[in-house]
Formats: sequence, structure tokens, C-alpha cells
Amino acid sequence: MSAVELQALLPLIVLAATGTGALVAAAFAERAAVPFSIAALGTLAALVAAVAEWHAPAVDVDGLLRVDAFARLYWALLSASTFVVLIFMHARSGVGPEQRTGETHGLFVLALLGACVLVASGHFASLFMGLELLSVSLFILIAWHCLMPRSIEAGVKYLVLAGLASGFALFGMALVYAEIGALDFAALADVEGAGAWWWAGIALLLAGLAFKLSLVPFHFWTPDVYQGAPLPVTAFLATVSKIAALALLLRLSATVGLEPGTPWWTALAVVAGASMLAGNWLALRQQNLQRLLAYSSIAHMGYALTAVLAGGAFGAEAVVFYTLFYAATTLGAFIAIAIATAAGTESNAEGATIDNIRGLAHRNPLVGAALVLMLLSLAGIPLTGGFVGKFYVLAAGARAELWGLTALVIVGSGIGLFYYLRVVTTMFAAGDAERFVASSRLIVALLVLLALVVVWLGILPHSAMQAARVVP
Amino acid sequence: MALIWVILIPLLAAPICWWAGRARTDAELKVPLIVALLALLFDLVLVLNLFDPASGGGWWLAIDMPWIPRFGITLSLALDGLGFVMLLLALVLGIAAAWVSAREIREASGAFYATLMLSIAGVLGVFLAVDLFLFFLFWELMLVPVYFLIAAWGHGDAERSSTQSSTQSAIKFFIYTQASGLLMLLAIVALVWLHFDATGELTFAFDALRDTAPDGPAGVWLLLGFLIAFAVKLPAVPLHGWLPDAHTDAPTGGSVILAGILLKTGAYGLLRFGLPLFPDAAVVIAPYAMWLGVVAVLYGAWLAYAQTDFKRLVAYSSISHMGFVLIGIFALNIQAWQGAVMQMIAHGLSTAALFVVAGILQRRIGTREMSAVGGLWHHMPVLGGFTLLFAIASIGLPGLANFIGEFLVLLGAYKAHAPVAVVAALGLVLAAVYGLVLVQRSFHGPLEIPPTSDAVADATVDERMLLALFALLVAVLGVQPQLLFDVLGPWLDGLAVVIDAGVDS
Repeated sequence: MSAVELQALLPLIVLAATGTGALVAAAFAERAAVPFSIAALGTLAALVAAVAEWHAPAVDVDGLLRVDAFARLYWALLSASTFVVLIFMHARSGVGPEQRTGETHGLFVLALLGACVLVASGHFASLFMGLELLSVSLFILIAWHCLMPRSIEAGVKYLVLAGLASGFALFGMALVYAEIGALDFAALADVEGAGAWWWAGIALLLAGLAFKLSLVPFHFWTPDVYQGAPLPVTAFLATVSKIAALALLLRLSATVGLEPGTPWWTALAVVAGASMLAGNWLALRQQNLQRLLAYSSIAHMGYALTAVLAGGAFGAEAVVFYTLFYAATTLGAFIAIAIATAAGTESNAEGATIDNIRGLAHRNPLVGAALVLMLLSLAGIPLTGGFVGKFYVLAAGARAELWGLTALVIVGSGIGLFYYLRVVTTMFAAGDAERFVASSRLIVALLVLLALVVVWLGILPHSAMQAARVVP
Repeated sequence: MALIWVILIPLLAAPICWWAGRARTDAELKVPLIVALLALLFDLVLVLNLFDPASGGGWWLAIDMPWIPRFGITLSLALDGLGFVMLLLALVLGIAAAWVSAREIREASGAFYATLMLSIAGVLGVFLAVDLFLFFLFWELMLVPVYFLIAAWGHGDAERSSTQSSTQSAIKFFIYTQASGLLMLLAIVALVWLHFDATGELTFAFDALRDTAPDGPAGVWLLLGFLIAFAVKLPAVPLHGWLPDAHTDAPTGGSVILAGILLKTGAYGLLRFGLPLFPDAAVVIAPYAMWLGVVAVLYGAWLAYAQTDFKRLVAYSSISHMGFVLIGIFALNIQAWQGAVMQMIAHGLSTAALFVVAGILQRRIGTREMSAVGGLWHHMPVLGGFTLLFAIASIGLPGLANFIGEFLVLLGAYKAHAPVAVVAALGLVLAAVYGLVLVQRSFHGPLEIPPTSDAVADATVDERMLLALFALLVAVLGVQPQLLFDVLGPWLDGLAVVIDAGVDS
């Protein structure tokens, strides 16, 4: 391995060292602050390393990993998201059953490493390695509240279904290999006149990814896991895991040359439409905020998939911008909910409900305003990043003349407004002040920072738009 | 810069109102109201100073600043005769909405006036923006404060739980407008891509896009995207479902804003963007749109007649009156456009005045059910007189502004398509029926409530001043409509040239 390749892989090397280091430290150190500090600093270092190399030329590492601007952008985004999640987790140590949080930090970093491998992969071997590293770390994290039935249920559900999805993906790769005799993405681009094995293989691979993205009909685990997992883990799952899978899907579709009319384009279009409709529809009647956000995330992945299907450089740009705003908004929403409710503690094992945030805007205007902002961003109201994201999706859909899918985006947004506004209105209703968890200044400051990012993406999106113009 | 200040003044007044609303004593509680009134008055003076009839058919004033270069989106605002008239209407009704809320809003008044200022700022932005992205942004943005006006300060329906009712109405209003707005955004984006394919330039500027806007079926589809968004706001039947609930459940100030200004943004959008962008498509759609207007005129009047709630009756009558505006816009000639704009202003003033009356009655008597009151004339002669004046103004009494509007619309529509005018004229008869029913049921007949209470006190000085202002404006425009037509003249001529080119092709 040459020096250039080592330099290109520096963020991954830093993350691998940090992850194992934090795990070892957690075994020896009394206080959770030690593994937290190691993990946070290491993640920050990976972020800096990715950003510093931003303009460096693309490097192909042994045909396994492709480190280009696209991968570096996502390394930076995923590292930044994980950094937020680490602080989130640490701020909740001492609250409820998450008292012992030391080991989670190392696991978060290892999961991040898996996600980073996934977005940079150029070969099925590295793809599968990244996927498994991400999944296995998540199995432990989701079931971290090992004394709470909800958490165990979520963990088992995710374990079984993620295992199944990995099996699908692996079998799909095997079929593709049987057809073309190669495992690197570059070989996929040259396939002509492929037979049934090829299409079956690609379909199984997509099913595996669709599980990670919780697209309909692979979405059944989502609400239960969102409800049962510790909130920081849910936030990680909703952002890092989904964004990495989406980025991989974007790269795969750009490599294979996604053309409207091909079988798997049509299949993905059906999946996207079903996700937008079913996600929004099922969210309508949810009383539990975590389940509501789970269904809303299904719909959002449908919107993002519309931009993937639009294809071309503009479609990719739209997807990248969408993931930028989605990361900031989702993290902000979960942090605000965690501050405002006692979700995930013994006193509120069923998770945050809409009733828990009744009157939040009066009790704690700062957190209330931030949560309103995040919900409006998810609903796509102007002056938030979510609006620009939705604008991008519609623009990409119009560019590719996908009128049916864009119509579904509009219908989905219309339905979506109903439940977002219901939550917003409840926050302004008169209500009691119980169930308010004391929160550290640090986490509130983090929430304010995320709110500023969301507004910045909505008001002055130009620089983020320029950054989003990377070739997958 | 002056144009930016027009929007910035209410925008900056909003946090001041909010901050001032934290006061506790009665005297201090007036501060947010005073701040709001001063800001709007100052804004009004500023807009009046921009009056510039000498500049002919072009923009009187325009600014253009880069915003999102990636898509060629600019912060560009411009003013001409139409915009000037709409700004004046918005500011006058904004002042009225703040004025009438002085007695009604007791809870969180600082937040209320802040929200009111934000909604007015949004509407002013709609009337000034000439970049289509910016226009859409303001279009969506004004929904958020109006949503909170209805949901948080609305009084709802007596039969349902009041907060639940007003929240549901607000959500309905929001979903209708937002979903239809996204269709417009899709049409805008499609237009931009067409321009990009033709010229290689990404821009959302109205002046650039109108050069490459498509004719033929593509133009019709795109115009439909705009038309649906605007028809929801107008509202045109069958997209009117949100209106009666939202208007009825909103606080009086909110109803004034909704009926007086928000409904006009739809008509404004059609006149400013819909017709000039797609003149050929407008000619194709015109007959259908005019008949839709006729349906709205008759259906709205019919439903208005059946209402027993004072405010609901006025709300349904809005559907009828705005039907005339839709007919006027798509009659595609100067008389009809003059009539449409006059009708927008006259309806804004007279309906806002009737909502003010409804608010006064509700506050005094505690109900808007007309069957529960009746016979108020003896105790409230002044209020009764004003109600009668605005009711017959809505009917279209010659000498008042509404008459000019409806007459010119019918005249123009007769030229364009005579059967439309004939059938729409029936709306005037129905208007007389529900207008007189309104006055008769609430002010004549036996008194249904104990006359001793404060409930039957006549209009106070501040209420009289406000209603007199509305009456004065309606009368002046009714006697001297040329004042308005002189301001609109160059803009109307410009629009006629564009449309005639569409008719010829």
C-alpha cells in the first residue's frame, strides 16, 4: 500500500484506532468520560482529516475502496453526525437505564467506520464488510437498555431482520458474480445483455439496502426499533445508517447507469411511491413521537429515492443536499425530544408521546422553538433546510420528467403536514410541566447549533449547494 | 432599498411587539398594539411616497440582488401600479386588523401582534416579489403566521370544543394551500428547466422566463399548476373547502387579514404571473375558468343564504364575490380587469367591515347565531346602519365601489362570452337575498336577548372610527373609480398587449 493510499485512508485508520481504543478504555476507566473523550476526539480528527483532503485527487485503493470527493464529503457528514450523537449519548449518562454509557462510544465509532467504508466502497467485498460492521455494532447499541423489554424487543427484531437483509445482499452479490464473474463496481458498468441471474442478483442486493433505508415493504422494523432503542442510538440509526445506505445506493445506481424503463428502475420507483404514501399515511395516527418520526423517515427516504431515480449529476446533487439537511434536522428533532421528555427512562418506558410535549413552547421556549423548527424543516416550510431539500427533489423530478413520482411527493407532503402541524399545535397548547428532564448546557447548545445549521441551509444554501455537487 | 424596507418594517416590528407583550399592567398591554399601528402607518406613508405615475408601463422601482447563484435565484422586488394598489390595500386592512384586535385579544397580545406583523410582511413580499422562487417563498411563508393566528387565537365553533375546532380549521387551511402551492413550485421549476434548455441559463426571474414560456399543451399544463394554487386562495369552487372554517374560526383580526388580503393574493398571482407568462394557454383555459367563476358566484351565494351564523354567511359570500374576480381575470379585456381589481379592493373593504361587525356582535352578545339575536336595531342604531351600508355595498348598490367592480366585470365578460355574463348576473339577485337576510335576521324582528345588559351597547368611538374609514373608502372608490384606474392604466395596457398577442396566435 502506497503512501498516497495510506494518506487517503487516514480518516478510516483514525476511526479504527479510535473505536478499538475507546472500547479498551471503557473496560479499564471508571468514568464514562474517558471513552467518550477518546471517541469524540477521534471522530473530530476523522472529520478534520476528511475535510483537509477535500480537494485532493481521487484515490483508488486496491479496487476495494474509492476515495474521491463524494466519499470524503460523506465521511465528513457522517463523522459530524456521529460527533453529535456521541455528545448526545454522553449527556444522557446518568439518566435512566443508560447510566453506563462508556462502551457505547467505542461501538458508535466502529459503526461509523462501517458506514464510512460503505460510502467509499468500490467492490462488493468492501461493501459487505462495511454493511456488517455497521449492523453488528448497531445490534448491541439498540439493545443497550438490556433491562427494558422494549429495548430487547427492538434489538432482536433488528438482529433478525438485519441478518436476513445481509443474507439477501450476499446472495445477490453471489448471483451477480455468477453472471459476470467480477465483484468490483467498475465491472458492473460494462455489463451488456445481462440475463435473469443478473437482474435477480441486483434485486436481492437492493432489497438488502432497502431494509437499511426502511423503504416499504422492508420497513416493518422501523417503528419498533425507533421506539425501543435508546434515543441517541435511534438518532444514529436515522441519520448515519440511512445516509450511508442512501449514498451507496446513489453510487451503485450511478455506476450501473440507472435508466428509466429498466426492471430495477421500475421496481425502485414503485418502492419510492409506496414509501411516500405508506410512511405518511401510517404516521397520521401515531401518538408516540418516536414512532411518528419513524414513519416520517420512511416517507423522507421515499422523497430522496425520487431524486436518486431522477439520476444524472443533478439528481445526485439533490440527494446529497437532501442528506445534509436531513442529518441536521433529524438529529435536532431527536435531541429536542430527548430534552423535553423523559423518553427511554424507567418513568417513561414507552417513549415520548405527543402528550409529553404538551405546552412545551411555554415551558421551555428555546427547546420548543428548536423542535418547531425541526418539524417545519421536515415538513418542508421555507427558510428551513427542509424546504430547499424538497425544492431539490421537485427540481430533480421535473428535470427527469418523472411527473408521477413528483405528484406523489406533493401528495405525501400534503399528508405529512397534518401530523407535523398536530405536534406543533400540541406544543403551544396549555399543558402541565411534568416529565421534564434536567439537561446539560452542552446538549442545549448543541441543539441551538443544529437549529442554526437548519436555518442556514434554508436561508443561505449556496455554499452547501456547491459542496453537494460531487460525482458519485 | 425602499422596497426592502416596505417588507422589513413589519418584520422588524414583530420582535418588538413580542418583547413589549411581556408587560403586565393594563396601560403597558397597549404597547404592542401601538407599535404595530405605528409600524404599519409608517409603512403606509413609505408606500405612498413611492407613487410614481410618470414612469409609464414599466416598473416604477425595482431592486435586484443575488441570493442563490447556483440556481440564478435573486432577491428581486419590483413595484408597478397593480403592486402599489395591492400594497395599499394590504396596509390599510393590516391597520384595521390591528385596530379591531385591541379589545378582542386578551391573551398573549404581544405574540398576537408579532404574528400579525409577520403575516403582513409575508403578504407584502408576495405583492413585491418578481423572482418566482422568492414569490413562492413568500407565498408559503405567509401561511405559517396565519396558521398560528387561527389555531392559537381562534374562537371556533360553539358546538365543538373551541380550540380543537380552530386548530382543525387552521390545519385544513394550511394543507390546502401548501399542497396546491407545491404544484405551483413544480410548474415554476418546469418553466425554469425549459428556459435552461433553451438558453443554457438557470434563472427564476419573471422577465427572463416569460420569453421562453411554452405555448401549446405544455403551456396549458404549466398554467394549470399555477391556476390550482391560485384557485385555492381565491377560492374557486371546488377548491374552497378550507375557507368557511378558516374565516369563521379565526379571530376578527385574522378574518380581516384572510378575507381582505390573503384571498387577493390568488387573484394577484394570476394577473401578475399567470396571464403574462402563458397568454396562449390563458386564451385556451379562459372559457372554462370563467364558467368556474360563475359556479363560484352562484354556489357561494346559495350557501351563504342557508347560513345561520353571521360570520359563516359573510365567509360564503366571499366565495361568491371572488367568483366575479375569477370571471373578470379570464374575460381577458381591460374593462373586466379593471372590474376585477376594483372588486378585489371593494370586497376586501366591505367584507372586512362585515367581519368587524361580526366580531363586535360576538364580543357583546357571545354568539354569532343570527336566530339568537334579532331586533338589535333599536339598541344599536349606529352598528345597524353600518351593517346595512356594507351589506348593500356587497349587493352592489350603485355609488359604492362593489357596484363598479361587478358592473365592469359583467361588461367585460359580456364582450368575451355573453352567456357567462348573463348567468353570473343572477348572482347579483342572490346577493340581494342573502345580504338583506343578514341585516333582517340580526337587526330587525323581536329582540331575543335581555335588553338591559351591556350586550346591546352600541358601537364605541373606536369601532365607529374604523367602520367609518371603511365606509369612506368604499364610497370614494364608488364615486371616483377613475382614481384607481389612473394608477392601474399603464399596467393594464401592458397586460392587454401581451394577451392580444396570445389571442392572435
